[in-house]
Amino acid sequence: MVAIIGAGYAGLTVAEKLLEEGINATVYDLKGKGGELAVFARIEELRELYEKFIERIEESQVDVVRGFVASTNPLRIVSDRGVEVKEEKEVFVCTGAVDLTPAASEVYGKRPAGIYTLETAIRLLADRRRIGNRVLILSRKDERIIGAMESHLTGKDYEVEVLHSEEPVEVYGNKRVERVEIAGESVPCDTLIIYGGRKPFNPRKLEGKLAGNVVECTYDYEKVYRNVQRIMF
Amino acid sequence: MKDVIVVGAGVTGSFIAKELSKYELDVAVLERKSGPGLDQTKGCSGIIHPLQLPFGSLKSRLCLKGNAMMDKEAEELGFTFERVGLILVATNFLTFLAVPLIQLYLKLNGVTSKRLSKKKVLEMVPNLREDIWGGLFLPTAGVVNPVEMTACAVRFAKVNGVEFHYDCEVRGIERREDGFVVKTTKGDFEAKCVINCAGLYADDIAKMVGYDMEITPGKGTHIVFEERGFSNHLVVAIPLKPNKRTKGGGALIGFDGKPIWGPNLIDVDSKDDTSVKKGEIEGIIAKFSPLFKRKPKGVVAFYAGLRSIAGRDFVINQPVDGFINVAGIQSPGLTAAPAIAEMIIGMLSSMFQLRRKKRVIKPEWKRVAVMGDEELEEMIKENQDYGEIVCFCNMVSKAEILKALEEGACFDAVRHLTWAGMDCCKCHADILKIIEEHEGKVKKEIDGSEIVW
Ligand SMILES: Cc1cc2nc3c(=O)[nH]c(=O)nc-3n(C[C@H](O)[C@H](O)[C@H](O)COP(=O)(O)OP(=O)(O)OC[C@H]3O[C@@H](n4cnc5c(N)ncnc54)[C@H](O)[C@@H]3O)c2cc1C
Repeated sequence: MVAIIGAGYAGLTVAEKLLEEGINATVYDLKGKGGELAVFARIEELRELYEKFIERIEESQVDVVRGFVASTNPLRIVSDRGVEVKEEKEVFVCTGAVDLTPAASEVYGKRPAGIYTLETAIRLLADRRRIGNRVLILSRKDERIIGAMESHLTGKDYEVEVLHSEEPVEVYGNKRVERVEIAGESVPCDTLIIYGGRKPFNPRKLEGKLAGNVVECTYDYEKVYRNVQRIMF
Repeated sequence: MKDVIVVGAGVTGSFIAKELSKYELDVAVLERKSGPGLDQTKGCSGIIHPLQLPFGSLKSRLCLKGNAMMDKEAEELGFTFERVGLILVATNFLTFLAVPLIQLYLKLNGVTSKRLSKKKVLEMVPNLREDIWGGLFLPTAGVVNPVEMTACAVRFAKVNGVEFHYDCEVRGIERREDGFVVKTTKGDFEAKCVINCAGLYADDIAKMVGYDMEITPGKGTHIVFEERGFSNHLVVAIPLKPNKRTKGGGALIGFDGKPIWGPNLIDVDSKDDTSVKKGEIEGIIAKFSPLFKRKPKGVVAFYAGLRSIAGRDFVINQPVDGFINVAGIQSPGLTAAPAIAEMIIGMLSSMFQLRRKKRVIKPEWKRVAVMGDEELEEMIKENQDYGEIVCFCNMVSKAEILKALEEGACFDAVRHLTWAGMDCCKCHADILKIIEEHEGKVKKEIDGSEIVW
């Protein structure tokens, strides 16, 4: 049997391709179908940017088994049903990417409320949470999602400033971010969204064939798409 | 009127409250933050130290005693504690010659250690550089999660009748004939006895009853790396000349096995200055990387804690009848906490007829990360939330997050107590949403530090 871990863009595409070949794989995901694209779909500006990928996951007929895969050898699945243990011949790890932490993105200074990685900010905004008022988006890598987020926040009455810079940054503020200093300049803000790049998200060190964003580590789904094509086709 | 009011729910106040809860006493703890251990305790290195110099000082005696008590405390309260041991590494010929002398000196002062050949040191920590000379192993050194340790004491105290009031800042104390009125942002509390465990602000509290002292903050910065198993022991280079003010930090590890390098000691002006400067991080890396063949992989976090320093030693005294200072609890206060608590019981025995409760309750604290499959299966049958894993890195369930909220209704309490979201930030939004569903909004650690609403 074949197991696919992660029901994001890569996991679903791999599952469909295998099905075409007559191989029935089981897809596991803690949160059901769609991965982070399902989150992006709930923010208009991101939905537009990722339209073609989001449509693919929404059209996907693949069934997803809800559960957290704790290890691969053997496969241990933890869910509200309990703990299942299985032997699988082949495993595809499609667990995606995660943003670098603020420290790994060279954010120094204090750690008051109001510092979010891009990913955390997106997940909160998708659920209609308010995360501040005066936002600085600091991006160490230019990706199109930054512009889309800027429009989204502006549309939601946030005051937004975007900085593309690789300089280290220092946060000031007591209970809440009050300002940041970067390259000798002081930028007043109550919220810092930091994007310092991404890395593979595979904390349980699951073993198997790695596919999709766990390899590419990007917000650019064209790259994720190409990676899956290369592996599967 | 309460019998005892403890000001501050850091590790010191919480362990005192835990010990008091074993007696027939009416006790309340007042804490200005939104959960336990969120000031100095959260910012410390989490080491259960094998010793503290100078031998004979109060902090040294309480450190040795606290260290010896820790296995029993961990068992009784249910916090994670592991004696991973500390290697004092001789990096040059001179310090290598000093090893037998250090060993003798430690032995005379009741600290066991074992001499290690160069080969043995390298076997224990293969990432150390080949040109070290040898070392000394101190097996009693251990690691804990400081906030978990504190919160487990809090939970024990709570189930045994102690009241905890959070977001409750003490603003003034009035002396009365039969005791004290403690004025707080949540109203007045009356008590026969007040114990001042206010950490960095213990000087302010002491001044409220007319005792003059000054606490100066000494900042200690740390860097946390991702690579578990880089070293399985604490590693400290034997200094050519010991520093009187600090043990000098080390290439430490957390209770979860992640490398923690630091802390340094920097005098700062403000009791809020937990800022981490780029130069400090570079300094720590420059100090400890020469010990190793390479640096550990992946930076996870920087953090700084502030030591509450009132001169060279702890200040534990009773300047006014019924008012006890437990102040200046700098390092190794975490290690000493159980011993400090015992000492305070001794001081109170002259004030109260101390009677032990017939029965004390031992609360349980379950961690999915360390459960076997069968136990987890049982837990999930009882409560499905144990099957809903929120933090992948550290395998923390929704049930644990909800339980942690009972101890501190804020993001930092939940994160530090459960260890959810302490590696990457993937689950932060989920944690925040769970808290928001229960509390309506999410604070980081104190009123005014709102994260989502
Ligand atoms: C960088 C660093 C590293 C350290 N490493 C170690 C180590 O590895 N091992 C070790 O044994 N020790 C270590 N220590 C020392 C240890 O952290 C402290 O000794 C210990 O945490 C002190 O605990 P406490 O409860 O006395 O203080 P705190 O934890 O500061 O608790 C005091 C509490 O009082 C509250 N409070 C203050 N004012 C008021 C008020 N007016 N009203 C109500 N509440 C108030 C505060 O909010 C706080 O929660 C370290 C310290 C630092 C700074």
